[in-house]
Amino acid sequence: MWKPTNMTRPFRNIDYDPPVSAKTFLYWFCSARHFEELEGDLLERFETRKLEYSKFINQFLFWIEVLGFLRPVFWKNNLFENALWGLTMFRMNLKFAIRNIYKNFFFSSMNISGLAIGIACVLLIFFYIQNELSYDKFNEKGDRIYRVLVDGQFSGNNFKEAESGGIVGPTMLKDFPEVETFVRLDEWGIYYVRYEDTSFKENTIISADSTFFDVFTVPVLVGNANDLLTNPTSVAISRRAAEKYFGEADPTGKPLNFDERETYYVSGVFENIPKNSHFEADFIISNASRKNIDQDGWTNNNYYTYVLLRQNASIKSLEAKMPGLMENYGWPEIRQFGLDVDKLLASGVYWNFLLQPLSDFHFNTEYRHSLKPTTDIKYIYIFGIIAIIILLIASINFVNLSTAKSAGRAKEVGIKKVIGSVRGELINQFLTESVVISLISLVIALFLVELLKPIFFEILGSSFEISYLDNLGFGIALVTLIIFVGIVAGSFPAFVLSKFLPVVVLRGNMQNAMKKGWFRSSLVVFQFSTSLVLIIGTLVVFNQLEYMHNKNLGYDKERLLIIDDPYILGDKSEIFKERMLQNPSVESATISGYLPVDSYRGNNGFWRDGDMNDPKIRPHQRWTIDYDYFSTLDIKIVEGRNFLKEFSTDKDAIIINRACKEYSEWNEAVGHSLMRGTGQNEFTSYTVIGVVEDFHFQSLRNEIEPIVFQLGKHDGYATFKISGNLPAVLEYAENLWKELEPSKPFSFQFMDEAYNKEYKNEESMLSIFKYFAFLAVSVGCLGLFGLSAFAAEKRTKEIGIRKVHGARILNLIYLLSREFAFLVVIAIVVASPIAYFVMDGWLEGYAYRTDLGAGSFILASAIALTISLLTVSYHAIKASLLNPVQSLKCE
Amino acid sequence: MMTSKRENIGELEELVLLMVGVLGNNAYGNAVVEEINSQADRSLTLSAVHAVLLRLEKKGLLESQVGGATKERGGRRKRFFSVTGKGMKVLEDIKHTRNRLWNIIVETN
Repeated sequence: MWKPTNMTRPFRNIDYDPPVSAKTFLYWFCSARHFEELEGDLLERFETRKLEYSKFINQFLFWIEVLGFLRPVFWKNNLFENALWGLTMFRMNLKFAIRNIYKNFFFSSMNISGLAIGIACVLLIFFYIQNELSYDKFNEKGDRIYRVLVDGQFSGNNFKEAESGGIVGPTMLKDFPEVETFVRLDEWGIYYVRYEDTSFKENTIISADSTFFDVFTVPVLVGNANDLLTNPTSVAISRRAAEKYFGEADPTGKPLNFDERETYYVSGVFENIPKNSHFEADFIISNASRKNIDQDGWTNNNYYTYVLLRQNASIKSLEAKMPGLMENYGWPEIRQFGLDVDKLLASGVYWNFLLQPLSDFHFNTEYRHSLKPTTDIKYIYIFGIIAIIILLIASINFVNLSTAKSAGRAKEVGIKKVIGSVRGELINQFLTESVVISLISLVIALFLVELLKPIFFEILGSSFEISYLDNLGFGIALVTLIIFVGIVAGSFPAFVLSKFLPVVVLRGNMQNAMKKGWFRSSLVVFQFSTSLVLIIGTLVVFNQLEYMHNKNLGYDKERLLIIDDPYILGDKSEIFKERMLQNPSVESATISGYLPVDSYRGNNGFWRDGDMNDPKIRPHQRWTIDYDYFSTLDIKIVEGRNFLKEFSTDKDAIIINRACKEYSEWNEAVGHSLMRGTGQNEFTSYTVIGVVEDFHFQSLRNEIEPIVFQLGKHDGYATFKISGNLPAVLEYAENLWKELEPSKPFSFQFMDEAYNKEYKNEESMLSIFKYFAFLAVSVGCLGLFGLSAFAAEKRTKEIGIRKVHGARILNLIYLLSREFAFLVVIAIVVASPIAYFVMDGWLEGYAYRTDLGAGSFILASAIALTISLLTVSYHAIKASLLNPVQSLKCE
Repeated sequence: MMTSKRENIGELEELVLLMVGVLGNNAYGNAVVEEINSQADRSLTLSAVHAVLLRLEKKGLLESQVGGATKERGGRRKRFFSVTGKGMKVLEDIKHTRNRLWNIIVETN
């Protein structure tokens, strides 16, 4: 067999045999008449190939050749009969399994419910994660869509923005051959949209360039996609909006009135933008309506700019060109404003344009944007980990319970063996049983998913479609996993029990054989440690939320009614305020868009005392308020005075908060002044007349920043302090509103609710922790309950003898519980440092935080201990109350 | 003339039948495969050839006996095939038909 071509590999190992499995397989299906010659031919070829191929490939080829003989001509005559025999055995085992499940109903239901809960959690979390990952995937050109981000530093402020100047898109298209087209989106906020007599408040209005439909995959139903947004007076509307405003009628050309100020004509209808898109839009107004959009400056943050790359264009080469934008256009523009760019750059100022791929849009938490709430990718990980943990806990339960239960079945095994059962058959029987249990759990889990879906959506604060048909691959994987869990859980009884000698087992020495419980114990410790971490997490998040709800915010958030958008009333907003004050239940009123909750914000750079070279210039919040602002919100004035109507000079006066005073390093703020730019090369100085106490106007994650209050009219919200009958006041307000402006919707909120809304994230995190801690604990307890039942059963005789000798019930309960209590204590020791580390990291994110005291840890440990002891004591008490005559008689 | 029903065989069957004839005393499965692979420049799998051999035997064109165990075969015996009279007749028929047709092609061209 020596061939010169093999000279290069003279040392190939040829000392190996063909795979036994393949030979066995051949023997299994091949008829006896052909087996010998076929195997001989196969072996001969195998030997011949040894010099030519590696061992692995050769054995692989052997398998392939064996499989080649899977033709009916070579089959045994009774091949199918044999298979049917296996089927009969399977049916027998199935019957045994179902009978056993039924007989041990208590154990089986523990097993099944624990596992079902675990699987249901995993399913729900899988669907959640799948939905999150599906965001923006409907865009067919998705891999070529990028958003321009701004990462910059200017006048001491860091900018991380998802919006950029209007000039960026057109310039990129002009200069960079990689860019096929671009589109700029702008959010319009809330408008009252009216068609004839139909009027609704809408907040899904954007404006976009005519290329919108080239970039995003949104089908156009009515009109031509290319010129839907070319006309300055055009608005394209979604199918939903078309049905809402025009019903069945053709909407093309119909006028839509926005806030009674602007009118746009419907140019076409597009399919509703999917829920899992990073922006919402029911009205898309043409960007052509915006004059000078292409001249919008380089350092502005006005438009979400998306670029579509050409096919095969390299994102790397485009990224390399991005700095050129500032070099060639941006900095020269700033130079024109009369600033010394080199000096600025030397002082650490920078302005970079970055590109963000479409797949990151939904997980963008770093760059400021206002389109739709995004998801912190951290949540995806937390959910994923929790899913795995819960499934793990449930599987451990399953293993533990099956193992414990199997001890009681040793006799069954013994008798079966005596009668003539083979070990393999016993193994099959046990495995079938546990696989059946796990499959039943899977079915129940599917029902549970339907049941728990509403709760889960409530926790998330969002909902999505669950489609099983789209997830066939996952379904197969899940069934495989479940069968695997069943086999693992069943393998202890299957392989260990079936090995026992019938003589030993039948004589009743089983207890000794089953004594090694350390494996089970460590599983229990693991279960309780994870449960404890979740309980502690729940308590800490709860504490922090309580802290945030009860913290003295510096203003009184109770009994404050906020009426939205009084600007709609126009000049009548002051009349509205006066008329409201006539109601005896209204204590005071203020009109200002700047509230310490999510509302309007604005900032300006301020120089101290007219000093243009002030090194501490930094943008401060600048809020426009009226005379009654501080009294209505109950904000204390700690120095100086409030704005007064008697002083006409107060128009040029300001009040600052304590943080601003401290930032400015003034001992006495009153009398100092702050200056800001009020126009091209125009500056105005404002004298400080008062200082108010700090109050929280952002989430407690942030430090309180300086605010400068100025007298003026800003009618974003009207806020009223109410005493007495709230519903009556509301009715009064609504009637008044209707009287002043009958065509416009009236909407309101309460300050405390608006405040709580800021902590939605924390609230949902708390719910997540709460529910999963509850699940983990209850699944863990199910396991403990089963195990303690087993322990009590095992010691029935011992308890009987102790009772005869005069043991009291309490002693017996102690005897039976202490083992488990010990395990829980170990779990506490293991879990505490982990929980401390994790939760301390979480609290780092808050400027104002509760202490991570021992309280939560002690409480969590107490909860775990109590629950576990209650669980265990049920069986302990049951066993101790048993009449010794009964317990000693058994066996 | 008394003839039994003409046995129709396919191209692959014909090839295998011919190879058995070519190989003479050494015509067992593996040898046929190797021979076809080298002589006819075709790549057939072992199982395909074995299936054809079985079919031809069933049709009575081949007969077989076992023997010739070697070490590299793990002591397994081979099944040697030889062409029966009927087999030879079929091969000759095919050859005659082909020759006649070829002659017609040559004449018409």
